Amino acid sequence: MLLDKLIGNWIKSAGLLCLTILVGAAFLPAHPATARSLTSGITPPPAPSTPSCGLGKQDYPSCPLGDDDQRIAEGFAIAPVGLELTGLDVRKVGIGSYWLNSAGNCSGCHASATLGNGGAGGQYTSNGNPQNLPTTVAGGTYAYASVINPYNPPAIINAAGYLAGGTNFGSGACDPSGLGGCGAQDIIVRNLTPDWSTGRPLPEGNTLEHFKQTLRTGHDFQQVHPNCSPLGPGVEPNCVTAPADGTKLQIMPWPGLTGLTEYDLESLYEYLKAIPCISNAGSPYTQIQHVCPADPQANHHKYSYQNGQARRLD
Amino acid sequence: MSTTHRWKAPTARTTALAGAVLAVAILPVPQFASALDRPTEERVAAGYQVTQVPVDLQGKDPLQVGIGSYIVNVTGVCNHCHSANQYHKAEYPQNQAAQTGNPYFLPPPFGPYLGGVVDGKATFIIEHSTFVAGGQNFGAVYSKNLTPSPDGNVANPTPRTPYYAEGGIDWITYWGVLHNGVDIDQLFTQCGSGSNGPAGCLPAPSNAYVLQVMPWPAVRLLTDNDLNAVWQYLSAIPCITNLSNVNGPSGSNVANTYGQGVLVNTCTPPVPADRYKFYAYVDGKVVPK
Repeated sequence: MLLDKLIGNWIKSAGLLCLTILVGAAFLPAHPATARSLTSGITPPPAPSTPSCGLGKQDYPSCPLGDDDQRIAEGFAIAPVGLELTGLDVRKVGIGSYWLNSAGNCSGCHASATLGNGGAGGQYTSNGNPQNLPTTVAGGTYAYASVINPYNPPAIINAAGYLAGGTNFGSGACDPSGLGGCGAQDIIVRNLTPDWSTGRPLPEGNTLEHFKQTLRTGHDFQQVHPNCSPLGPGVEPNCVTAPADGTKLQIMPWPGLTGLTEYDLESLYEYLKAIPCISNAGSPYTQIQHVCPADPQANHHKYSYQNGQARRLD
Repeated sequence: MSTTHRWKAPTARTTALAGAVLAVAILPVPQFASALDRPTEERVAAGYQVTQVPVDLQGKDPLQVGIGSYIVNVTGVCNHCHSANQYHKAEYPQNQAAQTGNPYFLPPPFGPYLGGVVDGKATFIIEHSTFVAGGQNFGAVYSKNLTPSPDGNVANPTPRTPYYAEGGIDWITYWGVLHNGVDIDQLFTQCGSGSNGPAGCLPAPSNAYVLQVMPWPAVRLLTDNDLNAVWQYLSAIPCITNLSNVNGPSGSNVANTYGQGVLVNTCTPPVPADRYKFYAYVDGKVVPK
């Protein structure tokens, strides 16, 4: 039985390998790049096509101002996980997905550190967090990937750890260049998925009012890294030292997000209610561990948004 | 092709439909005087409210510049990585000392997290002198200077155009950079087989032809309309010449030029200062403050 499986897998991988070679061979002549790219197997990205607008002759070619119908459609198209829309404001879910998954790139930092990718976690499948991949290559130290690299398209989100947090940006994750230094504290990325311990989805375990206040003032309602007592760091776990204000979120770039409109804040919250709960059992922040339904994805589906309606795709 | 519309007697179905339309009409659904939807208008207003550098609107769509500011300053927080010292030194004395490295690793107390709260929002002031002028050190990678250069950055290997974003990148090229991630400056070399190659070369599977660290795989998910708004805002902000003494390795003063004499915005000739203004969005119009 096991042998059958192994042989089956071997045939599959051999088939995949052949396909890869075939595809590679098919593409090689199309990229008559430099000799160095041939020996490394890495080629320049394909030439970009052209934007769908702004092709006029003005000094500053302008696209039309975007509207929310367009952003909502894009938001549903780029959501990398199934969504549960029951009882939710569909337009807000779409807008929340749009900002969170595009320019906000929240999953760049809030991806799970352990789930998916065979326990390696990270933002993309077989890839990692672009902001904190310490790797030493060719005698130099880089803050970005070598083996795990989101910059070799396609970039497919690691759904198993989407927004589940867990990366340590404090002492456990010093700036790999050694330039930024390290805090003595653990600053662990939060789990943004909805906690269902109250029987309804609470993104990050927060109510809407707390969520708004957090992004407008940086206030940390969970208080997981309070200021250290005079006994100093090391005595209390996760405490931060003055002049840092332990009542506020560290690392998280919330000061920029204080400019979010009320509508967009509510939209982000609505989207975070719609995504699947992912447990963060085992997090050092024992006070904020999520409780998920038995089947966290029971009612989650892919949608498209057309003519004012979300349509189920699966 | 005739487009005559004949009146038909209302059937039960169309009557019900008309009823539904009427019901929708009398529900308290927001009605907009302008063609803009209200959340978009609010974002334009917020964009002009939060930009802490003035903008030159000449030749640009004022509404797009407002949305662009909202994306750059709020939803994207681009200056978090693209500004060497993000927050105002006078208000945040901890920024007096040159902070080094990736802002995502700056441990407390070097964050911007010491300010007060006014009207339910944290107070902070963005540092004008470094705003999206690059120079943040991510190891071997420095964030690039996104400000427009009046001289078209002539030393650059890729031809650039004066007064466009990021030292003179035109809209179509900018769209391409954000969509396939190509580094048009080609600052890195791909190693050969294994890690053989010049010092600092990138081995496979890293792709030296594309931008590292920069999260373009996410930013490219913006609609073309919104990405164009970002480009217009970045073309509208004041030029800042590359900073020479920020965030060098081990505290040294290293120019943000990658040692190649490229990517330097000289900011000459300067744009007349009176073209840069702060604006507000009032009653459907962008007006000077």
